[in-house]
Amino acid sequence: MVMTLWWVACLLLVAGIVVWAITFWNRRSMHRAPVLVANSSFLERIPSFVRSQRLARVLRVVQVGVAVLGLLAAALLSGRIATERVQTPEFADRDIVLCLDVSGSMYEYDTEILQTFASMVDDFHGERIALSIFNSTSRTVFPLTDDYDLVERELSEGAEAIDFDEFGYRLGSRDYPQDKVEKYADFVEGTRGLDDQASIVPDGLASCGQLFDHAETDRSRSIIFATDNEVNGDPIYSLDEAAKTIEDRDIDLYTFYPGAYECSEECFDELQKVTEDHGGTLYQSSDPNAIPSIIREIQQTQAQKMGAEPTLIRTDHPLFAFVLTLIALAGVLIVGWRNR
Amino acid sequence: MATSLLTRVKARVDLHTGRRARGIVQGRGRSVFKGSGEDFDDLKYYQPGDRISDIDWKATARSGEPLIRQFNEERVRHLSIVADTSSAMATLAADGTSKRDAMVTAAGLVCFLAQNNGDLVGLVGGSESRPVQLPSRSSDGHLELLLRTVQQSTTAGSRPSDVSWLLERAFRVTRRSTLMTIITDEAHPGPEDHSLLRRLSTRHDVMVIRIGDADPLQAGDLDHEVVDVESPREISELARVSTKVARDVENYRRARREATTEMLDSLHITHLLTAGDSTVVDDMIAMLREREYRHARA
Repeated sequence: MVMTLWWVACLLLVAGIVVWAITFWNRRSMHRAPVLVANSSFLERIPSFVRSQRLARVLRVVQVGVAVLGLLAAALLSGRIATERVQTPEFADRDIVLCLDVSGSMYEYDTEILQTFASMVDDFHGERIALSIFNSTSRTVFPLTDDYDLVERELSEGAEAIDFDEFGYRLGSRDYPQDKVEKYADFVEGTRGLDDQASIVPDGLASCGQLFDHAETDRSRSIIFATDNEVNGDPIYSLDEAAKTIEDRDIDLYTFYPGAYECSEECFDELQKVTEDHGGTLYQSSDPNAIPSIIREIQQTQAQKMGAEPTLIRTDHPLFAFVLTLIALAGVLIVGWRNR
Repeated sequence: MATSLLTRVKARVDLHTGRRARGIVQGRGRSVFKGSGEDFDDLKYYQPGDRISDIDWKATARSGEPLIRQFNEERVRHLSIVADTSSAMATLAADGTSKRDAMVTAAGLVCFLAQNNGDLVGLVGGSESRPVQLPSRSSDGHLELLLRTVQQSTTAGSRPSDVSWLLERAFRVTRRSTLMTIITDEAHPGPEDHSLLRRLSTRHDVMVIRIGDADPLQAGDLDHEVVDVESPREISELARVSTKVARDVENYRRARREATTEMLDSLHITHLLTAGDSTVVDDMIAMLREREYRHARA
């Protein structure tokens, strides 16, 4: 809530105070020579007179109150109360696929990414978002959608479910309540379709690329791809092939690398090379708390790339002040007419 | 105030009443104030120092000795004016004129009649803190001074009305029996003054002239505020235009007027209630005529 023409409102208030002050200082001189009478003290003993006087006093107080209210409402109205929000219209044509590696090493980063996106959903206007998780196989948690209620719910629940140290649990060093375990199991259900394999990263990425629809429309498409690139099995695609399909479909790739787990430098080198070769950007941080700022950075990069100037959109909310002004004006007229 | 007040009153009397007034105010024989003062008592031999004009020439011719008429000791009558010079009298009268002007005219009429008869007129007025008093004199200058004093001591800044004190004062300072004209307003004297008035009327021949007050609501003149001179307070327009309030106010005032009228009647005091300066001369002459008629019958 901001007041666009706040100075007009101030001006009106000051004018109101000035008018009041002028009439206050001149209130005696405004009365023409009074009529002097005598022996009228008996009036106080006449009930109907006392009643009339009291009513007049009440009416006057009401009149002043309504006038002040009217002034305030008019000031508010002329100040143009409005809500402001920054909108990037082109930005709305975005499709984002969150492509998360849910192998045991990644759970902290996945949680942060999901939480960050869950909190960003409120600012989305028209963007579509999808969530795909993979381990040995891929599971689409939800496809591209702008049903933000669903998105927020799924992201929050996902963030909660994925916040689960599977290795620790298996080794017995971490303990979780039963329903938490079930939630986790439900969430990662379908991502372990291949026995004895884990983190088939290239296939996961390729299947994320399949999630984009409306190939004929001109939309911005991006994948936020979080993985440590520690493949543990036989992928159908190579990482390079997967990235190429992504690039062929004009999809921007934003890769997030949390740091090595078991793999040596080569995993990172491959990821970086493939990402950059195919026009993607790689972010690296071993601190899960850096995720929100990285995602913001991605947002900005994307906005710049799309030339989307954020515009300030003001929406006036005149109804309340207008109705109040109208009522106050009517009140002043009615009371003033009654109490001339 | 170039012309003298007395002259103005005379002009008013002539203008308003014409011949009707002349009848009562002119000539020693037909004066309304004719009373014991003119009573012929005796003839006595002329002594050096007596006034030549008092010699009764017919009797002198009959007896051969210079004889002079001797009158009662009260040869000239004493009049007193008891004027309520409180702030209440500096306000608007019922007819829209000033109550003070009406009071000065009433006092002026008394002075005018007294002047014709050569009577002495004294004044009692003022307030407890600033009493005003003029001795009984008959000169034109004195009468003029008296009217001026009445006029000038009655201002909106005067003390509030205290008729009880005024009557008490009049009783104390006027030892001689007088024809006393009390000039006050509609709300006075009140029932509380009953015993004082009775005391006054045993010693004096009392007349009460009451000048009507303006309506405190003034519903027809909403452009101007109404202010009570003694207790200034705002009277809302709502109260001023209300017919119910107007009716109640009128009822109260009528009851108050009637209570005073009844009291004065029961004390056999000549009195009148006049609307203001425009009617006071006519009303007073009517009252004096009636009084003369009553006296003549008695």
